[in-house]
Amino acid sequence: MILYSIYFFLISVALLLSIIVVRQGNKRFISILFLLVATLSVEILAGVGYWLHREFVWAYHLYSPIEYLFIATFVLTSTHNRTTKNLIAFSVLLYMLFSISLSVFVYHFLGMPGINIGVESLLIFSLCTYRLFNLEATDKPIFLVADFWICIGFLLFFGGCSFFFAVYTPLFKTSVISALSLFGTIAMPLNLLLYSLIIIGLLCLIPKRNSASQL
Amino acid sequence: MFDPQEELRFAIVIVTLFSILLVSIIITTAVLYYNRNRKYLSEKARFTQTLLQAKIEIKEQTLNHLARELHDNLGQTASLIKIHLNTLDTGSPQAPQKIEHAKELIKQLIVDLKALSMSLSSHSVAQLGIVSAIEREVKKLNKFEHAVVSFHIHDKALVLDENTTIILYRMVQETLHNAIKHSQASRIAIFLKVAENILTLKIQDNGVGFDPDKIKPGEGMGLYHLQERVKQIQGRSWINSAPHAGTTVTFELPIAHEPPFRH
Repeated sequence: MILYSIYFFLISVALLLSIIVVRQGNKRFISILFLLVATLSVEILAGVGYWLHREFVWAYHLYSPIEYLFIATFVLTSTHNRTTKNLIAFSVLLYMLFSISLSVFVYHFLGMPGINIGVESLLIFSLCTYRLFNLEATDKPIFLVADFWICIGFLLFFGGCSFFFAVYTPLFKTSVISALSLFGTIAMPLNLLLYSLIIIGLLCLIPKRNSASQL
Repeated sequence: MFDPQEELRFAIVIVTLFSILLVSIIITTAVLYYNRNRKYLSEKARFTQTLLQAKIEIKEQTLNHLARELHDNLGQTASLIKIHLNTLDTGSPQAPQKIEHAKELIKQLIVDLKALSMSLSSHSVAQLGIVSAIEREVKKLNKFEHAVVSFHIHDKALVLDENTTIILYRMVQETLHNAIKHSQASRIAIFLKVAENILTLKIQDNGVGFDPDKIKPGEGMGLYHLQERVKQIQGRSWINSAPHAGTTVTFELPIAHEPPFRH
């Protein structure tokens, strides 16, 4: 319960910071803002569903393509290469079709969309690696570059998720308890790490007041 | 069923593999960023140096202009006034005419002083804007009657960032002065246009021209420096010339929404 509270708190802080960053003129981060809004909405829905003993897993089926859309848009808007932009846009279309088809025809919106998230994780892992390898030079050291922290967050989370979902389904078939315990052990710390790193990244974009302006 | 030890081993292998992959990505990112950053900072330093050089040259140009104006124009007018007043005989019937002439010269002197003061007060080319700065330069050159200089621009409201303005203005000045000094041209035309974020500046003269392939070592250093400067601000330049066929110097500069380097 404490971990869940921390998790919600981190998403809320990240959302607040993203609003500040977008209002300051960093329009590229609007996709991060939308992503955080979608995340918070789905998690609240899931929390309420769990509390009322209602089915809520369908929300994750809808969330997965939306999440990929916003993360891909974030990488796409920072890319200058036309071919890469087209490839990313094409991957969004393809993944959305794939994910929705799988949810409708295979999962019927029941059960965790393991394959969807596994494929999405691999795609996001590739996108973020591409973005990290193509970070534009600035006056700042790398640890003050917002995209560095945000992409590392996505890499850790989705890299971890893709490994997890690769073993989740076979593990679930052999031992439900082991699978659920592995889920709890891996997913929650990765979630906390992801939103902490997004917060660090967004903080890099908020200008610090210098001593002269404080006087 | 997985036995706990096997599960643990499996988890350790996965976590190890993932950690290795992640660490490799982070190290590669850091190395790539460091190399790109070093290149960026050295280019920025070169750009600052170029800008500083251009500013110094503009200052020198302004001082030369001031000296020339004082000597050739204002000095001459003042000497004429002095001669008129020295030779003034109040009893002579030509005295009123001489006084009138001296008055006219003083009026002219005041007008010239005002013009000079205006041209100096706006020495900050950046404040003036590229279009007005070039127009001023053209007007000044036409006044000396070395050649008829014309300026053709598509968009009179063209506004560039301060650094691009200074460097571009300096390039125009250098090319114009080269044309006047070496080409014996009677006509010089400047064309300035912006299309799809590319600024094109073309300076064309009808002078004696030269064979660009036959420039001896040490000659054409001004042109060489100009081309180097254009390269440093991510631009391109061409010189088309042939003996007795005039010269055309073309510069192309990218003018994205952001200047090459933000300060």
